[in-house]
Amino acid sequence: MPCPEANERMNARDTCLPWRDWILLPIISLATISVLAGTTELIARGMFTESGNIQKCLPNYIHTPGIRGIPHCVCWEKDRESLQGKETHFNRNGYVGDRDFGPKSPEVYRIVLVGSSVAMSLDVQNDRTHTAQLATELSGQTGHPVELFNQALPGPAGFPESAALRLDDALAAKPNLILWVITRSDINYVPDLPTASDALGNQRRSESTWHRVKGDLAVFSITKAESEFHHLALSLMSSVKSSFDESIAAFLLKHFLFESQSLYLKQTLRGSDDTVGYLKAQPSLKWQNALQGFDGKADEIISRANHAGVPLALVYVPNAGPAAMISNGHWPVEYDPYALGESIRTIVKRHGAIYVDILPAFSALPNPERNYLPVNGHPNVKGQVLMANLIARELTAVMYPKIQNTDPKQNQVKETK
Amino acid sequence: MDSASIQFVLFGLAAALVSNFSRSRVWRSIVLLVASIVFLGLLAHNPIVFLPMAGFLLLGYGGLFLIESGWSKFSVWGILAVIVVYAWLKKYTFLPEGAFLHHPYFTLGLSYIFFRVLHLLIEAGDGNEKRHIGIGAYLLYTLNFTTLVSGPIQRYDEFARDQFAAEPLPLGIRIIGLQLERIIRGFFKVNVLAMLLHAVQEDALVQVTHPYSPTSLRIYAAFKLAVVYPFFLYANFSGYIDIVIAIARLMRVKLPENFDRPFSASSFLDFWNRWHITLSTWLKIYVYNPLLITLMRRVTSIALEPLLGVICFFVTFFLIGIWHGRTSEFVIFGVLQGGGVAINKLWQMGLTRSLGRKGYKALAKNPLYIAFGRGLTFSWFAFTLFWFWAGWKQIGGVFHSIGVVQWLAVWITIWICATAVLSAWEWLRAVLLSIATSEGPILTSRYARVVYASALGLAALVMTVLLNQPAPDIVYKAF
Repeated sequence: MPCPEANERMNARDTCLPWRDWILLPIISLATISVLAGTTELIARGMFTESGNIQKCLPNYIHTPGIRGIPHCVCWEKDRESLQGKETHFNRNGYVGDRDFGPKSPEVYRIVLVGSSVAMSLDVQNDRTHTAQLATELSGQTGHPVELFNQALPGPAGFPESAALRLDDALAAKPNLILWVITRSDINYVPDLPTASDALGNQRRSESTWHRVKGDLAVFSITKAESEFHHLALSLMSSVKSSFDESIAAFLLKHFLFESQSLYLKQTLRGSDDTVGYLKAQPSLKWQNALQGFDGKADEIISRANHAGVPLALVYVPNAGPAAMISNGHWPVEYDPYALGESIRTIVKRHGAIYVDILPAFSALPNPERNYLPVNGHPNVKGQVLMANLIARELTAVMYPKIQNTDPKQNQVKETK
Repeated sequence: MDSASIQFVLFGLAAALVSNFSRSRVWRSIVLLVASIVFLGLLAHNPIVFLPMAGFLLLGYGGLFLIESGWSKFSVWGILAVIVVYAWLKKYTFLPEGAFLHHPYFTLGLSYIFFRVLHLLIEAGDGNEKRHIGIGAYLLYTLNFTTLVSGPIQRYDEFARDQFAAEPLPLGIRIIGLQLERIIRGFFKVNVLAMLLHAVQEDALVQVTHPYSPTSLRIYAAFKLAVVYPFFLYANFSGYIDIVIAIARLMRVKLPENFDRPFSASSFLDFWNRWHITLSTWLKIYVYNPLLITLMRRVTSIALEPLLGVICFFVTFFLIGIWHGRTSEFVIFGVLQGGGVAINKLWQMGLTRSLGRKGYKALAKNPLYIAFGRGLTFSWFAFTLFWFWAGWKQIGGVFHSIGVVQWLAVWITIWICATAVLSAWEWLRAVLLSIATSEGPILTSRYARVVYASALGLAALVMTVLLNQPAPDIVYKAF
């Protein structure tokens, strides 16, 4: 290749590359990138394995409100971030547990737990779930035998609409208390049937990147408009980003990066309104509407429980983001990690149920985000212990006299704070 | 547009590409001026906010014009006026609050423009060489977008030598490759390394000040807090410098280096020969040397002569400290910088007196002495930086988080760890660079550089896409 700038001032070494380097250097670069990317993906796949699926016992649970598990079903599931897999047994009633909801002993204080995946302790070994520990904690703190039945189910199967449809199951167990454990996902979920656009989106997600690119290029070759080129560029970038996000290497990086509280918080606060709108001091219209929807369902559930003479206590479990913000004691002025809890408290009190407030306890916990799986977001083993401790402490403070006296006729709904 | 963002890099590369359409100095100057004005426009859209800066530039050029026209006696007043107006525009707290402008205005890069303007006025006032700087050259030099935000502080003669050369600096394929590699390296330093180190620092700060953190966690967090910030600052600042030096070189202007492996310094004096080199050089030329000469003329006592250098070092590095910020924390930062350098100089003088020159020279070459000196230099710099990044309330919170004895243990541990780790790094570096062929060390060959740049580029791209959040801003942009 000619060297156009060779002159007296210049060293020829600075101007020219040997012919072989024009081929060799790009190959070296591509090889480096391939080896690095491939090695990282392989390491990630070795470290973060997943297997099984709870759908085996809960078929189509995402789109079937009020569904229960298949009675006596056993399924295995290991989440990528969990160290061990978990075998989940469903009892004859279709709920998680080895034993059925038999008759209640008079001296025992029975609690039925409802809610979604956090309440169900989806990714934690059975003996380490907060429900396994909560009964023991409550018994220890009250000096009274307490048993806890878990009627929580994952995802939409545990959200308010489903909980309302299955409330008769909770009441049929003749509990002394229904404990409803919710997270922000329970508020934000708006049940709907899959639409055509959802189907298209699902189809796109299941396509390989190459097929998506081919589809985009086909569009470009037909239209050849500048705005289409811009759309293509954005679409390609989005495809590359979403493909990368789906890789296990990305999962590995997120897992380790989000162990940093500051990085996790910054990432959280850059999220969409769906993921972060509830943290705003002034919630968005979407979250206001979601709270209104929750208000309606809470009214239905609490009214039916009250009518049956069963007190209902609700506890809002924060995600890692608000937990960390409360622990730090400071946050950006437009946010308020207590906001959603206060809205839920207002709703719950208005309908005559008990609000169990565990949020203030996080201010005394350094690095509470370490109680959650960094990417998955559910409480980890430490988080389960924390949940059990906090709920037991606050619930005991509210319900201690009631637990001492297990006669349902004498249980009365009482405000907490 | 963040100073080390993808947008800035692409902007710089585009400017470099257009600049190289012609080798003509007129063309290159037009492109640089247009690019600099566009860059300013991208930083602030309202032209009104530039008025104070424009006034400052006009004041500087006015002074320069008068001096070049023969009014050399005006130079002192001109320099004083520039200093006062600078302090006023930067709102230094020793000036009354009521004197400041209360509407928002643009001050980004003002500190570096200040150095360039002062440099021109001082050089013109010296009158050693007659030259005339036209308004175009003046604006090119002061507003050069590659050095506007955070330096490096380039001398005018070096800038003019390259920018206005009839025959521009060569730009062969190897030089282009080296600059692209440098841009990737700088981008990685800012957007990956500095970001991760900043996260560690923020997490450590939360842990050390949380009222319910156990003592063991606080001690560890205090250690991390002290150790991490110097590396963060280095990655953040030197990464940006790498990018702008590379872009400028692609535009055929050679900017001065601002860092020379500062953590290899075996003394605090040596450290400031390797850290923010252009700033310390500027102050040595225009503060230390004239001050020393003035003091030597006035102080006749031979016994006091060695101390004059110590005093001048203290004053020079005190000014370096307070240049960084306008609040009382930076006064302490300046005292600590000046104090560190002064004590270092006194130590050298004391050892020379007790060991003799030959004895001291032999000691200064001792590997163990160098290693401990390196560790102590790092530890002292890490200590002074608390007054660089933290406010008084934070400093109080951090230093009250653990007891005095525990803090002493932390700093001794930092000194020992820094001694060991930095020495190990120097040894490793020497070993790796000793693996060489006839063309030089293998690790600096173009093949190794391509591997290195590809790996860093991939890492930087992945992190940028994954986190989709901006890296911490360039710290020195605030000065």
